[in-house]
Amino acid sequence: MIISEFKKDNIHIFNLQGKLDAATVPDFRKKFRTAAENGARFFLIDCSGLEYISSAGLRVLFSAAFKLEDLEGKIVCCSVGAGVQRVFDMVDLSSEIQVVSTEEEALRILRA
Amino acid sequence: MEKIALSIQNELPQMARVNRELADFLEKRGQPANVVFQLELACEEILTNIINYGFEPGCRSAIEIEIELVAQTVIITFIDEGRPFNPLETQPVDLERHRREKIVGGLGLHLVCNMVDEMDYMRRGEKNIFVIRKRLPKNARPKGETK
Repeated sequence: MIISEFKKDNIHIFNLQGKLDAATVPDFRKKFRTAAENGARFFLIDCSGLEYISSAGLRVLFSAAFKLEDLEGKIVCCSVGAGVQRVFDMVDLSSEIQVVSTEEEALRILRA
Repeated sequence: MEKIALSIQNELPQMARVNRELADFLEKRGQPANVVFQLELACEEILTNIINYGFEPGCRSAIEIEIELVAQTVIITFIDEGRPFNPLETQPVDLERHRREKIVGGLGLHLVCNMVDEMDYMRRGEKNIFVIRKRLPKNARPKGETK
């Protein structure tokens, strides 16, 4: 898993490449926590390179969404591939996290 | 040969080898990427549960995994010597009612249920035996091609 981070205005972008599973979740959790502790509240998760997600990966996304809800922030996922989307649907991820097709759309939602 | 058997130690990093062997087994038999993806995920969820909750801390033990293809059905059997645990007796996740409890547990088995057709559990002697079966899509090959 390669996790790249960018900032656009006040939006913190994570680009995930590879597998978000039990082995790689701790790295993502740490990076998310550090960003949130440094004041980031609006997160975009670019899933275009995300090949695979397990329940451990889903849990870290849900817990990030709940934490940001408490902090009056927001998290949006974009560019999700078919396999990962199917897993998102199985747990109804979109009830907690908005999932959109493009980065532009996600940025528009986060800036609103 | 339509069957392979693997043995791993109860350590999370060893799961990568199972997924590699599983993907190799399925790809060699012409299975599409979505089937490989779903079975890798099912395997990972089951093994994570066994490794994380089946043993006392520091207890080293082997987990046997058998993967076979019988009549267009993939059958994967997990055998461990951890504490008795029947995953089929755990409470299903209620995605509607327990909003924030999603992050606590139960998600893994929920995913497995969604990805396989059948699950069976047996306790035999000191062993947990858990079996998943997934029927393969009939139209995986182009029309007119029979094999």
